[in-house]
Amino acid sequence: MGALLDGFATALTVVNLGWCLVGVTLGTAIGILPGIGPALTIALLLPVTAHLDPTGAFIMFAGLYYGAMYGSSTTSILLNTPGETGSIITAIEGNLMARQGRGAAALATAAIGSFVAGTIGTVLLTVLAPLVVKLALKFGPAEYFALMVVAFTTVSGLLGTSRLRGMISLFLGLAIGLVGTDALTGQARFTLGILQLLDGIDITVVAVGLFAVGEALYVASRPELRSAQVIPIKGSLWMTKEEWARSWKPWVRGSFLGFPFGALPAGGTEIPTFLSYFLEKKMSKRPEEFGKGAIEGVAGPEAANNSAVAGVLVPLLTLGLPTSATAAILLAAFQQYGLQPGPLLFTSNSALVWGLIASLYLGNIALLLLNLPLVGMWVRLLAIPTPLLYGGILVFATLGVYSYNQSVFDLGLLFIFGIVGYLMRRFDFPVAPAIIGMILGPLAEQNFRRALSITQGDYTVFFTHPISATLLAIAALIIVAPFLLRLRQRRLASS
Amino acid sequence: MKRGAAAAELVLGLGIAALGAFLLWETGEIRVSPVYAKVGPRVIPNLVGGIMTALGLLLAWQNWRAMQAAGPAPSRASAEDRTDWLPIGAIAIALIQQILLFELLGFMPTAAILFYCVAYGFGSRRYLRDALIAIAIAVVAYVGFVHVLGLNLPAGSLFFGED
Amino acid sequence: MNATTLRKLATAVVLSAGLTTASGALAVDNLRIIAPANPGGGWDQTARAMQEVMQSAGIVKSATVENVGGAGGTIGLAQLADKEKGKPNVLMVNGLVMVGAILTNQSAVTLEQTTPIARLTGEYEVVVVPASSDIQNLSQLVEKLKADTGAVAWGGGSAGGTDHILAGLIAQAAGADATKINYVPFSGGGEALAAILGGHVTAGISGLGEWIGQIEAGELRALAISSPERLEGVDIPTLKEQGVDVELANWRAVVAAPGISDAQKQELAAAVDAMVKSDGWKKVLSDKGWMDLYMPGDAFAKYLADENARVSAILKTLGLVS
Repeated sequence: MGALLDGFATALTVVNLGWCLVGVTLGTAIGILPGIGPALTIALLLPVTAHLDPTGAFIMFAGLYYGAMYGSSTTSILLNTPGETGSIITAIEGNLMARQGRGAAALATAAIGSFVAGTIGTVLLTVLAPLVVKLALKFGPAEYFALMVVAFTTVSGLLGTSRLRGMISLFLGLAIGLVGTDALTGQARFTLGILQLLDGIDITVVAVGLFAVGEALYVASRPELRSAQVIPIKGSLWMTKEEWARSWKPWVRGSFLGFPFGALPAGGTEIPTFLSYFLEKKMSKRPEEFGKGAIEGVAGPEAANNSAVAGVLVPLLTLGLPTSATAAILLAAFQQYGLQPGPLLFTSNSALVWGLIASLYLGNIALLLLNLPLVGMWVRLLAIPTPLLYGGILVFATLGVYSYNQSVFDLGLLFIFGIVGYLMRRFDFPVAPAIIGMILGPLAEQNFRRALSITQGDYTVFFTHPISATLLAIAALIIVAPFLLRLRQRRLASS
Repeated sequence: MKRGAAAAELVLGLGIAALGAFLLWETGEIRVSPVYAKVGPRVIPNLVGGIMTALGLLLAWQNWRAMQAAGPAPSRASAEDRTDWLPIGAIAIALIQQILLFELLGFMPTAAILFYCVAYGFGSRRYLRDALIAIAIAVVAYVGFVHVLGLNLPAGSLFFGED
Repeated sequence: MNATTLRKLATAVVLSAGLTTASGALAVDNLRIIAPANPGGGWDQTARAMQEVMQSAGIVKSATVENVGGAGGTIGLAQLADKEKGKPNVLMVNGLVMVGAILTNQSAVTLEQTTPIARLTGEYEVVVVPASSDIQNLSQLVEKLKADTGAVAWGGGSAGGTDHILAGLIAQAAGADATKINYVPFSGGGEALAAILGGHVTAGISGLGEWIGQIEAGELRALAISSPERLEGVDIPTLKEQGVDVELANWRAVVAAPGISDAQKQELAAAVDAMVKSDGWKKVLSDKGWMDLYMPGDAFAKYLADENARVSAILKTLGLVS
């Protein structure tokens, strides 16, 4: 703890706070653009920051990172256009809230939730890092596969009005996830001989296509939707007492859920958001409000993706193990300053490491202080006349998607997925299961096959490893429990 | 009830089944290398393709039955609600022109056209204002992201040559 | 040819190139460097380092980096061979991985359709086991491999990449059946590292730089390195000295567009040569921990052909290409 305070002392200078401000502003700007994430931006800025001192540079990166996350949630909530994959789930309930005039409350719960998660994450990082990393290393392919099975069960919370339609959407996502080079044998699958498809289809292209472009086409095609102007604020600008009461538990639960996922080498920030959404829906006293704009569905996932970020630092700092694209870039930044990434970093450069942890936390605070007062301004984006608003959304969506790979081919894909998104809306298919299928499918398949490759084809591996067996039991319980409960209720009713 | 909706859904279900069948057929094209792997690259694609075919057929069958019974469609279908094709056409043209002309004309003109067409598709008829905003947004986005962030966006080979 | 003659030659070329400036603008004044990968990776970093050094050393007036990522670099390669054909001011970074990717992706364009300029840098690969493993040295691993090839699970990067190639070459040289190796590809160095530290695979292969921290901290036991001789300051025995006759460098190089004249090729080669000899480049190498593997001209062209033959043969054995 003392070391952390020293870290704050290093980080807290006027110049560094200035860099933090630059980072947060720039981060918010790039977060709004789908496709351009913090990893890409930091990579582009690395040559520029070579002349800065390490602390200043890392503080700017920290601000940039949190700024990007927050910018992405903002567009998810207000415009139904997620900028980063971690805030795709936020778009579901957040955008519905915005349409009911509660956009400001959704933005506030996202910002405060991120801050709460950042705080809890930093404390967990300081106290639990060695323990968490030991647990994370116990996760081999068999355990990951079991974890993916658990994550798949959460789809049931997102299926919408019809199970059949939800399942079709899920399998569409799984099919999209299969396109590209098979990771295990290097063979091309479903690429139709197109070179650009060998790396697979990028999740941002699909998400932006299904969400932003699909939505634009659908809304434009409906006279009653097209002319409807969203009222930016209904009732109080701030969160009401009830909204506070409904938010704080999801914040805390989301924080504790996200942290360990960030620490897992293949965890990522998306999966805890699915789990958090599912958990909040199950625990809510008003599950019927989910799918109609429930604040818990914003508070939980937003906290989860933010504390996952703190979790990512655990293996990075204790093992020198980058578990996300951004972590890998941070590692490169370390190297630029002549610091050898790896387990010795903590002991040999402890001042810088704690400075980094402190600066991440400062980025978190800066964002809260900067953005809460701006919530009212952001929300007024919705007051822009619909034609201009959608014009802007599509310009930035195409800009972001193109920049990611600098490929016109991706613009073509975006258009195709836009049409698919339009058809899904028109025929009442939920979009979220497709996204989940696309993210989880490849992870589940790869780890399933890796586990069987390592054991030379022994299927019992999933049940003999204790963590994997436990996770599979949980998944089975999630699937079977509702049936059992219904059975019991029926029996009670009949007796 | 909405026979039309059920008929549209029936076609949709068959389309999904066809997509599943296509996946199954394409899976047969995946080269199975003798690389040491107990579960090869075709197993999961076959599973996904097979289930997708079944789901599509199920959707088609449900709607076929609904049509026979002339009862309510098994789920809310919106195919009979009014659809305007003009806005869809405007936005589609806007996106397609960008794909085709992006490298030739560059980011700024294509983005401005995109913005303008989308605004038009959404029913705006204030032509001059929309055009001015379109140009402003395209220029600001280009300058901001190319010069401040150092992203590579095409300036347009027609005006600036190949490089 | 020794280094001094080479330098003299290069100076002569630079001088003669300088003379042409008087009559017309030098083609390489506005150099374009294609990084056939997205920002952040090794090829991108190489391209950006070249840009920085060439500009600040005044070798070219301006240099720009263009990222054309995807499909192991073969998309960038296709662009170089098609759109950039005959352009005298374009360089593209490439490497061993691209040789493999051309084969596995059945790319229509090969490196033969480019103009080789020079090999620049590279990295050697290490074979490691977790500290807790009962395997103490390479011969024990080789014994295991011979006894039951499939029982040794190798963890490393993508299928058909450098790590996979090395695993195949080791098995072959050790006299085991390389078609039966149990190689488990992971996405990214981090995931493979975690699988090895957690003891989920038997052994791991990766570039030295990526895992040196864990090796020095004693969390990974390095069994061998793929360099021809022991590296200075790195206490890891080579594969060769332990009886496994394999050498492999994950090299990075630059090539130019096809269809340029000999004079244009010399001009680009001279610019690259001047860059490699500059202090700025030396600083880059030491900062990034890159190995200087500079090999210009015809020697590099021959090397490229040899590597191509070797990589195709092993990828065929491994069953990645038919």
